Amino acid sequence: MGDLVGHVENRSSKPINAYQEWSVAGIDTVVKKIETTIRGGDDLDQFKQNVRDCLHENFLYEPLVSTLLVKNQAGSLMHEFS
Amino acid sequence: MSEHVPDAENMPFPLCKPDFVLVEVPPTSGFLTPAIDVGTVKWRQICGFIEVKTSLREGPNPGHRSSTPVRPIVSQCANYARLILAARPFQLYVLCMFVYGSKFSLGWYDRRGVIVSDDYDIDNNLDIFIRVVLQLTTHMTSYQLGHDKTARLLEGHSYYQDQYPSFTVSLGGDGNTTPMWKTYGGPIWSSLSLLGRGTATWRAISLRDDEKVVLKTLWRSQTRQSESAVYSYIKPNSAGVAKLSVGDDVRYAVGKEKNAPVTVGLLRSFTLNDEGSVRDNPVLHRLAIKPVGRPLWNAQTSEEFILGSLAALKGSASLSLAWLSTSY
Repeated sequence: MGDLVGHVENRSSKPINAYQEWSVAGIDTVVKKIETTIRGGDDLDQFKQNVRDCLHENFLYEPLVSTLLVKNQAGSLMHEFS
Repeated sequence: MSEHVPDAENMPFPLCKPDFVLVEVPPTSGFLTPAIDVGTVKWRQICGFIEVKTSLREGPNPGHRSSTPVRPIVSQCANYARLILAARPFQLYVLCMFVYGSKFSLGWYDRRGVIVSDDYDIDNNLDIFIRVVLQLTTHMTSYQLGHDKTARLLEGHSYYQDQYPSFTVSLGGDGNTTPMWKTYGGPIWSSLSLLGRGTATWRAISLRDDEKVVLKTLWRSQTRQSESAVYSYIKPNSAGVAKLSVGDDVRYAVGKEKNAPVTVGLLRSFTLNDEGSVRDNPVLHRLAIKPVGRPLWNAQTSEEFILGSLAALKGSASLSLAWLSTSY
């Protein structure tokens, strides 16, 4: 039965460390540019309002999806900001 | 394959998929990947995912007063992780992201459990959110995303092609990186469990002598002998028993260590900088056995079925004798 014993580790600092480790040259600049763009638009405010309004998940994240996930496909954000 | 046998390529995987999937897709000439109907994506194309929930209460980390350590979203995503590992058995771990209300966290699933990060606020930690999405979708290699470095897609093959791709597979480590086998077809068997040995078997051809073999990869407990060692106890040419061709632990060159056995602990150590201990710390083990047979239920004639059954009985008797001789 030893093989079937798993462990859940909550609130670990490890995963985020890994993403910092995997940084590539220039990513900090790109992240900062994207963050500035997002904060300069209405999407984040719209998202925060959606959270306050307790919208259904189909609509809650729409502002973030439109700016981050969809545009980021195929590295278009990298192209746009680098 | 029979419907009684799990078949990683053809078994009926659930249609329900994570909210966002990290998918390997054909390259495009434009900057944007065309929208893809997730329903058409095969599970073997998925190497990571994002699961979203509306409410903060649905997050993966229990409240400080909560008595339930495993939250529903963690179980739900464990199910996604096991399906990914079953559909692409050379995947060694699965990375994911949980988004719930205005918070998010990061997850790591492997054969010994799950590691979940602390909660981060999307507004206050927007830079982390952007960095993670960028890393997952644009920068990280398939090996950083969890694919076994000793199993490489054959040139011209991909996870998104119609037929299951072929791989060149080695045992890894210093001086041992030359591919030894080429798989063909989907896995003959692929474990459906997240925790455990994660056994997968493939039809393969030895690149040294073109011999057909069954290639088997599994996570073995360090408290038990390896399957390759067990084969050494079996009398050569025992009737009805497969022969071991080659078998050893899979190894990576990590830093100064050129032949480090791949363990769950090692992957966590060099990917997550996690030096904590892992229960049993299972080792990735790989062996090739021959000849390549076929299931009894695929027998074409009664004679074939009877001869196959007889061989299985003789093999069972040989293994019992081998077990007795090592036990006393």
